Amino acid sequence: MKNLSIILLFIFINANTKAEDSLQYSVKYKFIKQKDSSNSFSKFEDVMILTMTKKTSLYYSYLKQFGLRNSENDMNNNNDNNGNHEVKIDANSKDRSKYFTLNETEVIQIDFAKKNKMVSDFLINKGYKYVENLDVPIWKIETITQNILEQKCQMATTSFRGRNYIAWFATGIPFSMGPWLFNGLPGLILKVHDDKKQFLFECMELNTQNSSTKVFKPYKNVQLIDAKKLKAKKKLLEQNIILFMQAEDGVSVTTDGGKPAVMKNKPYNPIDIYNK
Amino acid sequence: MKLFFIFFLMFTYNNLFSQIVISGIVKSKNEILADVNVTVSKKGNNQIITFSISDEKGFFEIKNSLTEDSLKLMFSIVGYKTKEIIVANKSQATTYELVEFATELPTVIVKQAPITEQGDTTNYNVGQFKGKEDRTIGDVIAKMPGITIDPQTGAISFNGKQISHYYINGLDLLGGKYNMANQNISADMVDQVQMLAHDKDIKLFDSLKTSQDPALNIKLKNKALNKFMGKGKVGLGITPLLYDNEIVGLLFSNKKQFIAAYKNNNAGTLLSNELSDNVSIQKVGTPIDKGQKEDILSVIGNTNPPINSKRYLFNNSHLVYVNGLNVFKNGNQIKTNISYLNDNTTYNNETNTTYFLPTGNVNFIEKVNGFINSNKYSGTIFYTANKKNRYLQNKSDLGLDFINSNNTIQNNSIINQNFKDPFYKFKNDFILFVPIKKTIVGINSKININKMPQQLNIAPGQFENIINQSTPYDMVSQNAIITNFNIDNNFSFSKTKGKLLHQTKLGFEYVFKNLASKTSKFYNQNIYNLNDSFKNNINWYNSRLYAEHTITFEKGEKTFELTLPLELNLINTTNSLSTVKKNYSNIFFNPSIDFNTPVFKNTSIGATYSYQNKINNNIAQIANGFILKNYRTLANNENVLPIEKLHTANVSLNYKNSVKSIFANLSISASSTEKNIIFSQDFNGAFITSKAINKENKQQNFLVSASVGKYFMEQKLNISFTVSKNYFSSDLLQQNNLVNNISNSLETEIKINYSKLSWLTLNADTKFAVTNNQIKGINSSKNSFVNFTQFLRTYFFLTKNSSLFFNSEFYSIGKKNGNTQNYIFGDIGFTQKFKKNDIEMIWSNITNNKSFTSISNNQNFQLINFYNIRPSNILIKFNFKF
Repeated sequence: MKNLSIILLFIFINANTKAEDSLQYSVKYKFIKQKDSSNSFSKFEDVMILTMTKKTSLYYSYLKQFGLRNSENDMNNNNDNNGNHEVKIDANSKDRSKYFTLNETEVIQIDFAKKNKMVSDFLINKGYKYVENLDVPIWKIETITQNILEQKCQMATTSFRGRNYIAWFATGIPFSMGPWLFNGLPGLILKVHDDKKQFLFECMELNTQNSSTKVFKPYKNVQLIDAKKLKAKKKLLEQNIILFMQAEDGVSVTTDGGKPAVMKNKPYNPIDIYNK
Repeated sequence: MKLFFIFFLMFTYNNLFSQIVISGIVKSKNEILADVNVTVSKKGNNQIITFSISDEKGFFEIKNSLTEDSLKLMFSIVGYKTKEIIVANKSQATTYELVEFATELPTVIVKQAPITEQGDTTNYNVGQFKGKEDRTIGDVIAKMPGITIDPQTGAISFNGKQISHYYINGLDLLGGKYNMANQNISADMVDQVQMLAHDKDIKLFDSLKTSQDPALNIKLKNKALNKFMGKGKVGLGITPLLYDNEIVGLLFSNKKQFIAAYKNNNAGTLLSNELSDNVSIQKVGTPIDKGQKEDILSVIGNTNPPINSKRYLFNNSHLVYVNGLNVFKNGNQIKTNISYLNDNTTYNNETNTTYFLPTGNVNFIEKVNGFINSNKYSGTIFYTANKKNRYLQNKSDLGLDFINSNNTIQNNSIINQNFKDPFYKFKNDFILFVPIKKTIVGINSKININKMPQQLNIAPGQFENIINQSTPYDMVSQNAIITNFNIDNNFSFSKTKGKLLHQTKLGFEYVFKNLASKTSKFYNQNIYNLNDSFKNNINWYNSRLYAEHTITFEKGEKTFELTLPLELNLINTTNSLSTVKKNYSNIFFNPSIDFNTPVFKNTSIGATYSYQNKINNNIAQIANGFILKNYRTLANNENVLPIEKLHTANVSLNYKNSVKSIFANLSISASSTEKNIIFSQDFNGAFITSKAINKENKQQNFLVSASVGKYFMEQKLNISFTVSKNYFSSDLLQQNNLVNNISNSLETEIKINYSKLSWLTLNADTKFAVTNNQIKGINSSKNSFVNFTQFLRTYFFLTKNSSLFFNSEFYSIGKKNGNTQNYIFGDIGFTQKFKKNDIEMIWSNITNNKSFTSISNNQNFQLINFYNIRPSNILIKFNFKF
């Protein structure tokens, strides 16, 4: 508690002018995922933003968006001699940290009025999206409470998309929303993790200012795709980029000797194992 | 278990029968409200038991089987006032009305972690480490766990390894002279200090080869970009009349960077420190920098005590520099660094020297007062094209140093020394890398030209018995001029094969050196040049053909590198005075191996080994003719090519845990040098004749050092502990006896910085060192010293804008089980801040200490120095920004 620097901001909404429709509230989460289910050292950290209005929510990786903006800037500034714009992202390059190449590309938009969600993604160079009905986890409210970011939070548990979760929702923040696909609790979810502690979302900032949220831009030229197909593509990309490029663009990657490059599959541990 | 399950089912089944259903519709001004959170809790308790969310018709339904008579219902939704009502716990259906209301949503930010990690970059959040007393980014970096700044040179190390680049927003404006940034960029301008574990300065090699050297990047705040900023200082004080002024201009943008300054003071601030080059420091295994100055003559008497220069330096210094960097549209960079230093120093010491000799100890006392005037000009132009398909760099360096020293030594008589020590140098370094098919072809061409015409005049003349038939004479004058020309060209070819990078280098180096020296005497108002035994005119030609193959393996953090260089040296030396011509040819194989791997989480291990054959190309070592090196040393040498064979091994263990802010490292190094030349020293009173003699001899060095640092975020406490043990053994030739010198030392240091309290910041630095020096052989001797120092600096923040500081430095120096000398220095300061400016008043040396003693051991001699200290003085400084 002592470590929190608190700034209270009062948002005044004029009741007569329906201004609440333009109400927008953003929070920032730390998201830690274990990339290899068998190796607890394979933790990867990301920073996510959830922006809510009364009826919608938008959820994305802040760092990824920040990295995409950086690469766009560099592409515009980095003309090579032939006038081509190019940003080479190398796995070992120090640009990796600048472009956040390994961070989450999935963007989730939920429309609570229409009870649906739109998931869009960007795999290397192509954008995809699908729209599905919104599923609401079935929550069990527990009697345990704790304070997170100065907010009184109560515990709730659920089994959702193949994993068991423990969530903490802020009873004083009346949004039934949360990170990723979590929703349906009587208060904003500030912390949620699975029982194996492979996935953790923890709120690190309430009322994130526009200076941070303006980093987001929707993906351009996205193509509609079936949810299962997108998941399969994403799995292939994360497991084996060489096979993915072969499958997607017919690009064959060869070694110096001209032999086809072979890459061992990387471990893949998606949060959503509903369809597994 | 089954039984329990059945029982459980029965129990819940029973409960279902007694379920109460509370339902209703939520509205506001006849408008149906969907998505309203409806929660149920017990009366007088806010803990939610169950809940529902209203649907698009505003309808909700909550079932419960609680035994309470009444329950609390709470309705909440953004934009409406939260409604709480107590209802009877019975099945019911009611309409609930909410009132529109501006919901207060909280703003809370988790304090940023002080250190975060992204890939191989460690980010230090400057805001977390900056204390109210800190001015420059260097002040803040010094407090960051895992980073150390050498108090003498300003060199920065990260977890035990020296940084190879200091970037400002990704651009390298200053090269190794980064003190100019570290000591001038205001801490307020910096957002983060980033430590890149592996510096990648050549994009073409980015994914091929990783440097093991860390690099530092200063990430500026947006507010510090794209505008010209400046700061200044006007300081005046007494006694004597003191001044300390500076004006600094800074500009940083993505395309342009600029730092320029003018500084002057006579208050003891060592301005030359800002120009020290902290990257070109020689690393083991890299070829010797041929542009270095090789001192032959020297003036005795000017040494510095191991304390802050503000205590002892009686100076009058001016420093001007301009550094500019421009990035062109195509990404290429040009930068210039120009500086001028004018330094005038007076000194007044007493030195007590004891030589431990097989024939007994020789002791003499020298009282010295002197003056040094130096003017140093330096200019560098640097052009870089660092692209993914080409790397080109050209660096030209020009340096002109003019140094004049005068002093008077009082031992048994009074001796005046006058020493002119200029140094002129020009250096050019060209590097090009281009990929041709799958090979990266490199060309590197270096040229060095320098000249060092030294002159030492000593009055009255010394070494009367040798130089003037034992008759006193007026003055002896020694001239020595070294001219050096060297060109080194090589081609390299780098290619990946499988998982390995192969790099082949073929090169040719040519070195030409000349040493011309003569000695003259002034006697009976005549000048006499001494005979040919006091003259040298040596030419040294060295052609070096070399081929080198390097194999590098890299996988993530695992790296392995094997270097196999082979070189052929053809050397011939001529002495125009003696018609002696000597030819040497040597083939050297100098392999080295380097390996790094992570062993477990946060920990990595590294090991290096190298074997080197070196020709010591210090031309004075083969000078046959006598040279008067200083007023009491006359040297001549055998004409033998000085060759050193050097084995070096190092193992280091590194631990870095950014989350817990713990950094630790352990390093063990050993080296062994075989030399073919040893210097004999013959003493005649204080007068020494020295001679390089062809005789195999050995040096061994063993060093263990460990450090650990932790930052306690909650307590804002940074603690670091360092310990090092050094062992050095060498052979010495004294009065024709070969003796062995062993020196070993143990040093420990604890540093503490505490800034939790808003009204107090505390810095403590405690050092303890024991040094032993031993000579084995005839007339063995042993000396042990204990040094203890403690620095304490305390800041009291009286109000938001005013603060008081107390500074104490305690030194205890003495022989083990013998006399100790204790010194304590104290300073008091007061700072009053205004909007952009502040006034600082410092009263230094409040106890008015007038002298300081230092003791040091050096192989076969011991030095006890007595220094004059600046008297108690008061300085008032006005610092401003614009």
